[in-house]
Amino acid sequence: MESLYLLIPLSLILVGLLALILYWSIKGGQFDDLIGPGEAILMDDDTPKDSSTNYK
Amino acid sequence: MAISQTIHNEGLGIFYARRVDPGDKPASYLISDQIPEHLLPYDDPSLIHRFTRPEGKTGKLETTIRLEKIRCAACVWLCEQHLLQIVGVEEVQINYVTQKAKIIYFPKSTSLARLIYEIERIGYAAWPFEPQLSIERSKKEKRNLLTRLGVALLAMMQVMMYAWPSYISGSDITAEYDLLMRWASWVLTVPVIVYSAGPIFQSAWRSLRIFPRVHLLGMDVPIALALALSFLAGTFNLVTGLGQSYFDSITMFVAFILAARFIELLARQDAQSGAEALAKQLPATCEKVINYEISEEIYSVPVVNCYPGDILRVSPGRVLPADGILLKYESIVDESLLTGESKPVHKVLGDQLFAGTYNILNPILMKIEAVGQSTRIAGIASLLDQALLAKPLMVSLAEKWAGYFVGFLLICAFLSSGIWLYIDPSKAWSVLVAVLVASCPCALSLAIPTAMAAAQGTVTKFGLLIVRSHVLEGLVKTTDLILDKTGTITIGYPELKEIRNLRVDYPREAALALAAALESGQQHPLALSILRLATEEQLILPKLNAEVKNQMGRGLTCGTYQLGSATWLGINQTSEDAQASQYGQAHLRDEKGLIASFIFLDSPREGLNELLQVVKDRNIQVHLISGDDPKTVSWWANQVGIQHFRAGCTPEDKYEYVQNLQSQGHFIWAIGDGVNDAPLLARANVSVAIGAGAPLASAGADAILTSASLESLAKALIIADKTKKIIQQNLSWALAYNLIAIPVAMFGLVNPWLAGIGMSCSSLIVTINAWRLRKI
Repeated sequence: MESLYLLIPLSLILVGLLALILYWSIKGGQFDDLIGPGEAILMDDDTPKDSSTNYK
Repeated sequence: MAISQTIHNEGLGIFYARRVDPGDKPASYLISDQIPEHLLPYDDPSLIHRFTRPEGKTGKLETTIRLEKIRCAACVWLCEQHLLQIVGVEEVQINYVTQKAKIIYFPKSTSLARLIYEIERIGYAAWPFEPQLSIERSKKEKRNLLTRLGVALLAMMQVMMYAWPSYISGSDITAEYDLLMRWASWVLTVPVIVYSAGPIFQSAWRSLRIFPRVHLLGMDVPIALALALSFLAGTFNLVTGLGQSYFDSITMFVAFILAARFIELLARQDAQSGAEALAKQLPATCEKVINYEISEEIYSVPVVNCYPGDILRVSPGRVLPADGILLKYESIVDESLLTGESKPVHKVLGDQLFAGTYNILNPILMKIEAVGQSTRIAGIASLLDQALLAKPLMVSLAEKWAGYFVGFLLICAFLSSGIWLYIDPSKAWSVLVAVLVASCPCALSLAIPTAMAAAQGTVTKFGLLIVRSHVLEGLVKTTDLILDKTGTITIGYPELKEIRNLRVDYPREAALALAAALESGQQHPLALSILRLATEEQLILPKLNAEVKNQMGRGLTCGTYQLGSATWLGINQTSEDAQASQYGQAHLRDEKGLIASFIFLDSPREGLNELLQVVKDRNIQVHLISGDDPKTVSWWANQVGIQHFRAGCTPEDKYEYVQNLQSQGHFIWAIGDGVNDAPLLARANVSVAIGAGAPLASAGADAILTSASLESLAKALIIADKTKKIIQQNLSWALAYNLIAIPVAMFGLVNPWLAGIGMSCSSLIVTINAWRLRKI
């Protein structure tokens, strides 16, 4: 059970990391438009272009 | 009022205490350097046009300011009162839902910087409302709340994980590990209290500070108290090793509250965009002529950097960015947005031009007279703001209740805790926390604004811009519907209906194709209707062997062909022809004589049948009142199935008609578009102006139809019903919940954790219920 002394502080660090990542993604504007990306999928053009093919 | 007197005195007291020279009279005090550096630029004369508009004829200015950090109705009340007691401020109206304050003041006595500074002084932030800026602020506000919510959710999940062992087998855990997990929970709770719930504490502190003056407590006070007490108690217990720590409840509580507020923010920000959309109709950039005298070289600049006196160039097909005077090159301008006149207006040098109108024919040079908030179109947008600011009675009642409720609640909390201290001291603490947390004045105060905001947002999406908030309530009560004819149930611009007087052996399609070929590229409504019909019939247009010349006001010439008015072509109009067309005619001729006459008529507005159907289903009487001639009106009435109609009405006649019906006890809903409808719209109980109509009509109306179809109004009726139901549901829930929860908590039957869930859930339920209004 001594492993808890390592694991629990580790989990705290992990949560901190997650909070940082959350902050970064919100600041980058990823949550600004909650509806658009859903609609955007439907608007994708599936026909491949001759010059450049972009596979996402 | 005694309270405002108290504030007035108290407020002045603060001023005197902070002033450098106590002997100053208010006027010179304003000149003395009390306004901080960063606000002084707002008083720059060149910015006055951008942020303010003249009001009335006595030199007053009107401005709209966006407020921030408003957390409840008490905050709004305080700002209103505080602003009102500033010398020079005449009128203040603040709307909780849109968080905008409309202030009318005398620029000689006070200034924009002063107003903003005063709001900062009492603990809020304020920004002059410019559409672009407010979008920036909304974005920041949303992001900030989302981050805080995210932190609280992460902490909640992890703390719950640490607390889980103690739920399952609390007695079996070794002391050291239990301590380890509780300390880890504490570490995660601190950021939640400090960062996520920080604004709650700030707002509660503000609310307490102003309590002596206002006697009204904000909703955040019980929340902040509950959070603070539970956190302190939990920490105390952790350090001394006895009793429970409440960290899981605290984090969950904060997470739920922030979630409820986030949903409310989304609904609120949705409702804002309607009015801003109108102001967005102006272009963001324009072409400025820098050295007018010397050259006509143009630079592309943002419209916000243009000021009165600048010279702009506007190409054909572009929207005019500002009000001004035409300097060079005559042109034709479509002013339908402002005047409702669908026939384009011929502008000559020196004529007035308006922002938001549409240049049709030639590139023009204009000198700016008004830009930004002082343009006519901004006047329309400010009318919308103004209407949004008029509170419906129901919201105010709920706010008052919420205020008294919070006071009553705090008394209950401390009373019951005191009683428990005698009976069983160990429970006193938890009872206090539970009562504070279980009750929820939030739900009561959220019940109506969220529903109205959500409904308004939905209704705006499908094309009805609500200007005065009683519209949704009023639609439900309507007994009679009064419709105007031209521009309301009809489109108001010409459709090519008939081709007559065809020359013998000349095919109809050929005449139409030839006319369309001549009109290609023209923007005049008659031209557009010819082109539309030609495209519909899929005609191939003949190639013209000469250049088409436009004789402004008369017609087109191309080689030997002429297309234009009868008088110019020298054709005798038969009286039959003149009667048949409401919009005038165009005649096509060549060197041999008349080829064909084109008759233009009006057509019914889309969605008319749907609207009439829904209206009839609800047993609403329909009336058609028009200034047009009896024959046309009766023809239209029969066409769409309206029994009651009146023709040849002057604006006064229309007004009297409404008055008569109202004196008989009818509740009137009126729809109109023209200047002659303005009195009718202002007098009716609920009125809708057609968006493309005259601004004067919009000024008198309670809502503006921005979509082209009347079906939006049919949908609005359905939403109005739904809104009423949902508000009733919300209010009943809030009351019932509180009636049950508070006594239960007072008797010590609820622990803080459960109470926390109850409070947050109740707020969430009310907000999510209102969210149901977002879909029709």
